[in-house]
Amino acid sequence: MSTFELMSKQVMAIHGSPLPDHFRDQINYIEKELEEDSSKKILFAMPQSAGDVFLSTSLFRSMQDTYPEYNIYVATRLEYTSLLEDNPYVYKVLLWQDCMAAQAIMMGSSEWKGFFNVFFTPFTVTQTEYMNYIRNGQDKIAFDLRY
Amino acid sequence: MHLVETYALNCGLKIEKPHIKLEEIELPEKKYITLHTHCEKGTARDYKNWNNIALELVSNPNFDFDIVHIGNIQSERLIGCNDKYLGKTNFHQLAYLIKNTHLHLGYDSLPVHMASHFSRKMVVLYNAYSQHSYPYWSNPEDIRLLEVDYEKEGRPAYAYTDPLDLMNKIEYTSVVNSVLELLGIK
Repeated sequence: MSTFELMSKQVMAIHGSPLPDHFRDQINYIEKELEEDSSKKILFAMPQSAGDVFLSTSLFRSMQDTYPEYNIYVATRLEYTSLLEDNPYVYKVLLWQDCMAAQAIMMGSSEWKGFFNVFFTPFTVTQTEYMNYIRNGQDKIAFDLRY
Repeated sequence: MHLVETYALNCGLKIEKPHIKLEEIELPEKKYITLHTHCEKGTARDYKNWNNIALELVSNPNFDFDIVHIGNIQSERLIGCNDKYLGKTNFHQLAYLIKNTHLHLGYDSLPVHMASHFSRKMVVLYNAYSQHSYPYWSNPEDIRLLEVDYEKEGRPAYAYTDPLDLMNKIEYTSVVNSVLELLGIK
């Protein structure tokens, strides 16, 4: 049974409908990109835009220090991949796939063990309908986030 | 809260400096400032006074800089600006150009964060609270962030179009004066 079929079976059992068929190629792509890496893996997803991808690169040193035994993968759209070129902390850049929005596919669910051990989705805070970071410019942080 | 702080908090990580590969290109012969004007995403950041600003700057006898227009090839050409690089740089070349600029002027976008990374002087126009995307790595003395009083003029639209057109309520003379002040020109 292929990974797609296994996942589709899981989704059918849980939600009553299979995975969309166009996920097949996307899942095959991810599987192929990971096939030679047996390490623990992190996926950091930032589909867009250039500024957000650039800002994200400031987090990768802390990520590598916090998870020294993990390989860091970053997923973004094709037009932003070059922003990650030669980044010393990024193990591999993946092209953003729609199926990456499904946490169960990325991290596992039921019999499916997932592609990644840790899946970061900070874009969901700023790039979805509810922009959970805008508070009239008046919110504050009670502790230091600088490295 | 800044965007990068939002991302750091979401991931439980700390913020260091960003990273971008640099690709050397031939720089303008004369010392220069960079100007970024055209936003591809809607009209909310479409400032209508860039030509007036460019004209005021190049007309100032003490302003001895090339104005290098950067960004999309579809940008409206501006009086007295160097458009040799317009639409012709990749991200790595753009970073190199910004790393060597004397000042960056533009709206809130990628080049602002690059200029901050390289500690460049900067004048930035905002159509929404600058607290969310100010030049995070900059010394406050090196930057001028221009935006309207949202209590007086109305709240940001947070969309690609802005019915209040808040950015265009920023006086272009304040942009010119900020550039001249940061460059030490009277």
